[in-house]
Amino acid sequence: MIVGIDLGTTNSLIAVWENGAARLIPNSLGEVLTPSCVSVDDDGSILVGRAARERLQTHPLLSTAAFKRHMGSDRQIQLGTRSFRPEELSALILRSLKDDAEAALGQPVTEAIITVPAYFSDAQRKATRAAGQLAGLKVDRLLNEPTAAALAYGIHLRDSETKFLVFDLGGGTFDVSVLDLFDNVMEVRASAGDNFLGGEDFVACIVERFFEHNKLSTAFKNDARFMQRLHAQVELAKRALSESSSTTIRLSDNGADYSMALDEASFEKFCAPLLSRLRDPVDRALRDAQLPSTELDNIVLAGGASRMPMVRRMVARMFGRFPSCDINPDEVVALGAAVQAGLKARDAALDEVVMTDVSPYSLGVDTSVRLSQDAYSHGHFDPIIERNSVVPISRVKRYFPLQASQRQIVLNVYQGEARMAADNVRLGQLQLSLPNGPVEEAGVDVRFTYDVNGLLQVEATIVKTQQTTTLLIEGNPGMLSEQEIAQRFADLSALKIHPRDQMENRTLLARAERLYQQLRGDLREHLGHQIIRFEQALETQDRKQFGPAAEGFGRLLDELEHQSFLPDYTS
Amino acid sequence: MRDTLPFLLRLGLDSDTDARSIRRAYARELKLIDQEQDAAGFQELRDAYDSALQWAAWRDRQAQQAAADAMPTATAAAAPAPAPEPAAAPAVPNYGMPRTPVTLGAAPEPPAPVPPPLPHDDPAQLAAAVFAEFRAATAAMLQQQHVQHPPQWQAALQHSLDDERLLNITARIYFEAHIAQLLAGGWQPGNEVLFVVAGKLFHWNEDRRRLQQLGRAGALIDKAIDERTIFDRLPESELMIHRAAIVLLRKSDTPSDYQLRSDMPYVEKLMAYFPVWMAMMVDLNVVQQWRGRAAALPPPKKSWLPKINLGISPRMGWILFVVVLQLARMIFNHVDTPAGFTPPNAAPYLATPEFKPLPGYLHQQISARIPVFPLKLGRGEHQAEFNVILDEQGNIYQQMMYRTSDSISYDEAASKALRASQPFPPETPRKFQVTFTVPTGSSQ
Repeated sequence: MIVGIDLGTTNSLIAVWENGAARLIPNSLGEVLTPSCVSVDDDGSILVGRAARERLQTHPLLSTAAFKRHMGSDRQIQLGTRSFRPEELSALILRSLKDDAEAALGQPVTEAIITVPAYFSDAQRKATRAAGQLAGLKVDRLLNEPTAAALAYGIHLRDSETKFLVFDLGGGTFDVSVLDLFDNVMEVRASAGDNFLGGEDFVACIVERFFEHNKLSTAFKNDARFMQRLHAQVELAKRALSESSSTTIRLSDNGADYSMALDEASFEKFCAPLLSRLRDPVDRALRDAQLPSTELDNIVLAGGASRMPMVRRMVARMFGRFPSCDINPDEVVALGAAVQAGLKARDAALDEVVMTDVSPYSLGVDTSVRLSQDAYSHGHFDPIIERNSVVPISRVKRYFPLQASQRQIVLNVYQGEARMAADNVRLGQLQLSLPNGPVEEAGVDVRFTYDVNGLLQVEATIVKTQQTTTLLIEGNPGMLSEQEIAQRFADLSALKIHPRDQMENRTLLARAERLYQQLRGDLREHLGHQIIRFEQALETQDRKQFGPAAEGFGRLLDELEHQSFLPDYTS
Repeated sequence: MRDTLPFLLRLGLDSDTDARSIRRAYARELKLIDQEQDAAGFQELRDAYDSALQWAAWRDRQAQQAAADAMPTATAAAAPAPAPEPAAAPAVPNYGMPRTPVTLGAAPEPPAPVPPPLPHDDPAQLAAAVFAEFRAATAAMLQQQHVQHPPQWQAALQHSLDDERLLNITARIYFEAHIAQLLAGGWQPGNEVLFVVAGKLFHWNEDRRRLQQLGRAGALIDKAIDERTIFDRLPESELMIHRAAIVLLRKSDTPSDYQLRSDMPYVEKLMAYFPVWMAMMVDLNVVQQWRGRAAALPPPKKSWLPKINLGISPRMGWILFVVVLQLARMIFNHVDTPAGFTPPNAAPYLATPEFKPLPGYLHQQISARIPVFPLKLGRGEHQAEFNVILDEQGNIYQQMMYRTSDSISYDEAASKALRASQPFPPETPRKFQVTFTVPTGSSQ
């Protein structure tokens, strides 16, 4: 069974292709959205999802979120006594989703399609693939998120001919893809994006404002608990503004109360710099697709942050029309991943459907330009694969050494669009020894092959000797070797994971703990008693007793959450 | 039309097909290929598909034009003045618009007034209106101040970009095309500042591809930025001297003899190395005037040619870099050129000295191997240019492309035609340069 997984910055989802349709699989709490949060519990076991998100506020040093933003880097995230790489944290999420799917499907799940932002780099893609391996999954394909959204949207229109644009603003990344659908062929014409623009940035922007508004000292920024609580409150306010026109952010800390009123207009004003950053990728994707925006039949929104009214207004102004919202933007990417899983498994219902994707970056090497006999200008970027070429693609270019005496050539491989190589992202280096002979005979054929997963292979052949060298990426901090992956897989397997069947109660308790910290006076005392009673009920290990207790306890938490003027966390 | 166009064969089509059938044929063939397992097969199909689509678009345009040529007698009789050109064919998304031929050095036209009968929110009209306001604002700045300040120009351009009317993506692209057109049209006061400011705000430096979509004007600016990048990497001392020469050129069309003597060599140097950029930085008519006057000067007593070392220190043997000569063709070794040397026309594209031209009959033979070609290109001349080195048997040892026709398909067809012409007869120069011009009928 192949599953489709949307491994998001904020939330992750898992889905399957079944009986000719994509279906989302709920987690142990019965929810399809699993927060991409990991926490180490008091007993040392690992908590994933809602419970971990609650613990961000109560145990900020033992919990973490939004680590997708560090994929492809060598950043270590410390949780208690153990430090994790972003791949490992992602693997824990993947494993939790995998367990959910196995429980729901009643069969082992070993293969997965995992979605990545279209604009993810080579290192970020490889890290995602490693995360899959660490979770014990064979990653059949890394699928671009906007392409997945397009599959979910387009699969119902597969018999028609249409052009549309996917506007995918997630928690941490922004992607745009332009698609052309005809004769069951779904063709991505162009993709563009921004890897550091998402809902989290809008929250960070308001957090800054809150500091200014309340004249808070920057010392608070080092207070992890304060920051996590503020972050959660701002997140709630952001969501509230999608429904009502104004809201108030309240936070009390050590007896002091802080608040800030926020209405839609001022929210939009604060976030204007972020909103304007939405424009460039759209602009670039349309140009690369050679399509005027008037030829688009539809704008499809994906990603939770595309729910914000100001984002929708911005889209409407850019295209002179309103975007479509027929698919839940939180779910569309996972559903598309399931469609791809169906394609991969050659499901009969998808027999005639083919999808082609593109490489969002240009890829090339650095070269020197000859100015005159002995004068060169070095470090110019020479693309071998131009961006938005249809993949898989393989292109070859011939290069020559500068001087006759040259016995070695160093090829630096870059990704990016800038003229000077130094302004692009360096992917790796290839060193070649040259045979003796004049410059004209020392040509090197450099072949770039970019596969459907967005992974690059570089191969250099010395023309004269036909000797071939393949790129070894050196000094890239974001890479794990196969050996390291095997080692870390063993380490991760040794970690104790919180039992799945107890997650519901554990989540209730985590939520109660968080509320306990927020409440004051009688309510707090009351909740304290209830927590003890619930814990006692749990200790009896008797489902008859704690079943109803959990239900009642959950209702109590809901009520308290409303009473304390906190917007409902569950909505 | 030849019946054996290979890309049509690949798709199982013949030459009376249309875009719709091409897409259908591609879809059919695509389903027979496993993209992951047979990457090469996929690529081959994809190339055939792209070529076929371009070919079909070209052929349709040809037919349209033929129809238009056959018609006009009736209307021409009614209107004595030449009838205004109909709006560009709507079939092709035309981002490079408005496309007027760009001639370097020619006085640029003032921004054309917008024809009235357009709907209120037409992107072209929105862009034209914002552009007109931008021109008015900058004209005021030019009048009021002697020296132009980049921050002010940047603010003016940013102000236009922030305009509500340019939120529309298409209008924004049109506006950018207007600015590109203005710059590529040759220098006029303020353009030197605008060149820098626009490069920054439109991200022309960071994104090479963006300019490629602005038609011929974009291509010229792209070259100019490349030249400028190299110019900026000159040693500081060289930079100062050359900058001073540029400033003087902009200021004065009546330089003193002393100025001529001291600066003319630098000007020639600049014109030879950075022709496209220079055309945007200074008035080429002034350069011509300087040349005329410099030629009339009495010969100097001793050589005052400055020794210019453009080299960024010669590299030691084993620190190795790779050479692409792609840009080098624009930039030649004139270091030892005698002082009085003046190229007759500082044409942007000169031939690399060591590569000889190809005998005419050979050129014809090769050209005949290029299929009649389907292209959607901007107006003006489109040429593919190659430098070829032959081995002893007359086979191609190395073939470098120096100029693109702006169409990958045409470039590849020309490249194929060259390879199909091997071995070359013994009288062919071992190193030769050859240029293929896209037939004018097909570039529109």
